[in-house]
Amino acid sequence: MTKITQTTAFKTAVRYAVIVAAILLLGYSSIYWLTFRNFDKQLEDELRKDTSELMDSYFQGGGDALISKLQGRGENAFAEGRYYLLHLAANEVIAGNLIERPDELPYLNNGELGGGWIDDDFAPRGALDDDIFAAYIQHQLDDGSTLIVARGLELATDVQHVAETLYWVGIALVLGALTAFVMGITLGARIVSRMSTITQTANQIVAGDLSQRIELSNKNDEFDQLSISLNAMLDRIQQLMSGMREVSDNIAHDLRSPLTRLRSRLDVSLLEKRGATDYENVIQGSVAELDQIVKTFNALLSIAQLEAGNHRSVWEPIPLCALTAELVDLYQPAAEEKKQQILIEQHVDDVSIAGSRQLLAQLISNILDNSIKYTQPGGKISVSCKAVAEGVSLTIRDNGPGIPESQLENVMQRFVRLDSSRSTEGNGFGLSLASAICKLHEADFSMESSSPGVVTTINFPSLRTQ
Amino acid sequence: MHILLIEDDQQAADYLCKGLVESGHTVDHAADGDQGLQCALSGDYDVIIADRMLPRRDGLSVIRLLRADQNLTPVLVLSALGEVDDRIDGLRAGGDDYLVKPYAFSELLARIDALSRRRATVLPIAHPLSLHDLHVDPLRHAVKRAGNPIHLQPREYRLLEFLIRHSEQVVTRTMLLEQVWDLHFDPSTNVVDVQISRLRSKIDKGYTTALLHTVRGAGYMLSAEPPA
Repeated sequence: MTKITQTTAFKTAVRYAVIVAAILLLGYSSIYWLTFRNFDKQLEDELRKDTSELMDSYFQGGGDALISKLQGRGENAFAEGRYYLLHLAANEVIAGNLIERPDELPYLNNGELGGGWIDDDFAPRGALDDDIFAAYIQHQLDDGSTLIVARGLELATDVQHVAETLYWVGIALVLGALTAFVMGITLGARIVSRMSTITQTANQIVAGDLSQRIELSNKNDEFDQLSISLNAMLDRIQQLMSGMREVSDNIAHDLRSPLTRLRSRLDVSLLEKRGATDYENVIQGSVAELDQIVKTFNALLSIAQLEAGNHRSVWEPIPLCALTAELVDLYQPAAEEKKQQILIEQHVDDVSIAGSRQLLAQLISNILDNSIKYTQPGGKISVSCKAVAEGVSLTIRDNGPGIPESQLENVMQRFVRLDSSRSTEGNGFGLSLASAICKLHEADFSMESSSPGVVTTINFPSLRTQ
Repeated sequence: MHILLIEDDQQAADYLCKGLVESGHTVDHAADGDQGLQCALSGDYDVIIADRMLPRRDGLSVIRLLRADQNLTPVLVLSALGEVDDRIDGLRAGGDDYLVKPYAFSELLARIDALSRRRATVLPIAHPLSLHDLHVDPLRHAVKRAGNPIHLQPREYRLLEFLIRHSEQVVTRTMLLEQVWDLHFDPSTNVVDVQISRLRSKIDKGYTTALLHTVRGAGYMLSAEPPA
């Protein structure tokens, strides 16, 4: 139960109830004050004076004198808000301008000032437009009759109308507050139960089971929405963590071999005394091996960071076709060495995409690298960069030996090199780096057999949609 | 050259000093940022080599204060942080060049050489350049050797202009990729080597004196004399 009382829902309901109580308290106090504390002094004096006059005439002339005095007051009285009644029993009227003693006027002590409603039913038909709240003085006379002298209170009438409304409003508010209170408890209980699913799963994850996900209730409410978002976040975290594990695995696997080679080379060279040139060669070979290791390390680090989406590069509009042309230009002589042709389709419009110049250059360079490396001498490489409806499409096609269908998926994994290419230079990172860069740029990367050869297609979203 | 090295790793500093001295330079060594700043402000160095991660005051802060003091000594920043952003931070702080660890010593040498040279010779951009009998006109992008005009593609011209502005200096492949092609990564194909050999065949073939030399283990040099 304490958990429920701690929920916002419950606290809000309680606050609401408190506010309602305060409003009602304030309301009724005002009304009380307005009605009973604020009697017009003058009106009260007039009422008392009027009553004494009538009582004097009774003491002096008896009942008849009183009756005639009352009859004298009759005509203008209603208009002026003065009401009189001399009666024996409630509806046995002797004199006055009311036809019956109003039910709402309680019996008072002699001379005591009171207040109450005079229903228009108790006045002659049509004399009163509406019920009126009146101040009155009552005297019980020796002959058994009761005299009532009343003054209608306009202000008090209005206020009393308000009081009546407020009475009903008050009831509604109290009912509302009670309902709110009950709902507060119910809602609080529901929240506690829904939240406990989430907290329980979270605790399991903290304890070490990252594969746990929050169960959805299929109600599709805000709790489910929260759960969906949290689950997506957990997916991402799991992905990052497995990425990190992969990197450590890769580092272990792929740096150990060259490091071992390096170590062996140095160890062996120390086994015997050798000539200066021999040592020089060993050192130079070792430096070359180290450079290779550093390259591998940098590439691994780059890929890991790209895949984690952690790259803080400068992001700006890059004219992709111009950049492609620059790189084709750079690679042209290298291709010519192998008697290969690189042809680039020129397009008039260059479209800019949002991205990092360095990363995009690396991407294009990797693919051109591969094309030149794996295509036979005399081969042809065609590059096309053009604006399409959704953005920019970059295509690089070669007519080399291609990649077997079964292997197309695998080539983008790190360190994969097809058996046919194990003898060539490089370390097998180009494509996984390329694919990571594409992902970062929200571009679609695909490689297909182009019989002969391979066609790599990259579709970048245009600047505005990114 | 008189060099200031600000590096907190004692062993790395020892090796560097040894290498620099053997290459003919004199070196002062400061082991933390504050000491480095003091030396830089009071000494007169041709080049400062500053590691980024230093105790007491980090490398970039030292450079900023140097620049604030109107000190324009060229600074080469050494750093294990190699992201594009990190490089930009280094240059924005006032550094003149940025080298990511681990680096080849020949790369370091070539770069500090280029830095000190940059300070020494400030030629207007359009000033004609020449080496031996090779003449380059930057305004018209015209190249002549022994009076014969040589026709170069735009990329070949850019490469040559860079080499001649750095004549008699070792220019590494990385420097070329960065400053001629604005590429800050290492392409696996030997694109630079091929570009150089193309250029060489255009400017050296048929002439008795070879100008474009390969410096083994370092890079290239445009010079009338073969490198030592």
